[in-house]
Amino acid sequence: MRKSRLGMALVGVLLWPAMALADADPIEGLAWTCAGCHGPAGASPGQTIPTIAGLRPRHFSEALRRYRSGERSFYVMRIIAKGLSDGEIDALAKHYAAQAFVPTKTTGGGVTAMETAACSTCHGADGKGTDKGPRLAGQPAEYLETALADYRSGARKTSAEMVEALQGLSPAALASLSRYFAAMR
Amino acid sequence: MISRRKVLTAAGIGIGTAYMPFVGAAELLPKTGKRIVIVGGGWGGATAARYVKRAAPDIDVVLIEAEYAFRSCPTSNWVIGGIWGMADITTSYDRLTSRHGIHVLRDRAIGIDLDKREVRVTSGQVHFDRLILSPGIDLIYDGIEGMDGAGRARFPAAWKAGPETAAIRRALEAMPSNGTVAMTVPLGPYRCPPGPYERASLIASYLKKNKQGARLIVLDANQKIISKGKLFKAAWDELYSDIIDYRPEQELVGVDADTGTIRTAFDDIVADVGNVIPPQRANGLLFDAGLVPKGRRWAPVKPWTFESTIAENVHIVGDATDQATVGRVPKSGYVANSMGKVAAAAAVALLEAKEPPRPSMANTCYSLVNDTEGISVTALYKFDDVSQKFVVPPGASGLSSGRSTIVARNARDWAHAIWADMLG
Repeated sequence: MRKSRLGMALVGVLLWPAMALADADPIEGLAWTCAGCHGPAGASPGQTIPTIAGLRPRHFSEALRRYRSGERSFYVMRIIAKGLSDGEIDALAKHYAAQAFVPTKTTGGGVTAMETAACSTCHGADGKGTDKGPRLAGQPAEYLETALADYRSGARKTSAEMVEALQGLSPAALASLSRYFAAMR
Repeated sequence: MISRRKVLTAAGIGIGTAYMPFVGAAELLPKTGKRIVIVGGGWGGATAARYVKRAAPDIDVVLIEAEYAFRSCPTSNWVIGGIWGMADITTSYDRLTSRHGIHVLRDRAIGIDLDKREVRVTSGQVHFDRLILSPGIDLIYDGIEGMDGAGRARFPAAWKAGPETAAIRRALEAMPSNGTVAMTVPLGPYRCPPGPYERASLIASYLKKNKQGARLIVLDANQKIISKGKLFKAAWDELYSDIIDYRPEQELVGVDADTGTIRTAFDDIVADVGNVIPPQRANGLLFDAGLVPKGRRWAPVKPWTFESTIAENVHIVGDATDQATVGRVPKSGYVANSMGKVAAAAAVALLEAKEPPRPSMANTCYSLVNDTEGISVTALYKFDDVSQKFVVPPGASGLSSGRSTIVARNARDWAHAIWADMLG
């Protein structure tokens, strides 16, 4: 039954040469499941879910491994990451790294006179990330603010540099920094 | 079933002698290439349409949907709770056409000829090479006394987002401040397992602020809260202990629209506002096409491709599918979105005589418990080669640790992200 159907379909394809499917990326089906929250182009339209398209593979993989090990505790990703193998994590990282970063829409004004020299050491002068620190420019403001607040409170310990850098900053300063980077292009 | 057949007959008469269905005619959209037809522009169907186009832009995609716009069931409880308006959960189908080249046929599917590979709509018929059915559910009112027109108007289900959603909202606003709201929850499986409990939470939240002295009686046919139970229970105990009266194992017997009474095997409850969520089954279109076996309520599928186990060239996705064949996945919007993607990839591959890829699915389901706080459940599903069904890898399923504002903010953003995923 199955054979004959495939045979029929094969005839169909031969008669219809215009069909061209790009080489199937074996990780694509798994990557598609991310889109329900992170959006069809790896970029959520909201303010709390980060863009995952266009991230350096190193940062993408590191984030998922930290969710899987429990070093990062976000309540959705710590569960999803448990089901992913190292190979799948690295393949997803490669898949999303190949796509363009889409800046999220920023509401509210950015900060104009913010001292961000310390940030640029790892995140780059343009905020687009280096091997040392992930991209901040264009990520959603509420997502960035939550990350900063978690470092500030000690809930997130994945970077000693971040914990140190945020010492003495008020919640208002964290909010300003977040809006500054969210608005950066 | 009988009523659906009556509708079918009526539609046939309505079409008249211009053409007989399936005999000699009226192909609405003459084909120029390979075509995948999708029935139902909800979570499974709209997603499938987009992802067929994404995988194979040259395939002709026709989406058959009777509604003028998409109205989201997930987040429709927020309208009942007064957090969002109907406009916030309504999205046009226009971008599927303008941005993605999908033909949206605004008509009602009324029959399927599996041999001729045609879907019949009220205005004619559409031929397909492969068919993806995402028709959703039908509500089962048989066996509930008094659920005639008046009964349904007095006790709307609001289990498909639309006029009934708005009607319950209006009734809540109009009720006396010390009044009684009653709702019934059917035995699982039904669409959106946490949906009734989110609804109860948001009704209670509204009553707490606006109708002091009012109470909400939840008559649940199940033995306990069947989704996110621990989290809902904690929220209800802490926020609504004087408002929500939760009664498990309540078998709904009937209603009386004149007196506003809901009758269970144990009690008669007179309610100012009543919401009866009846038992459910796959949409009647699937029964009529013979895609649901005798004695079953849901359509069996092969989960690698979501092809029907009964018919060739036909995929079935969404709430209408039988969990006994798919694996233990909830009837949720996110899962329907995942199924739509798996079916799209499989349908494109099979049309091109290629092997369908290994499928994966996910679920994240958010529920608000008040205006600002939410709870969630998350899972990843992979195909298990031994059982030939979807299973959760060890550890890859669980709840949010408690209720929080971040979950509620994520819920809002998730809705916009997944609507963009489905509808462009």
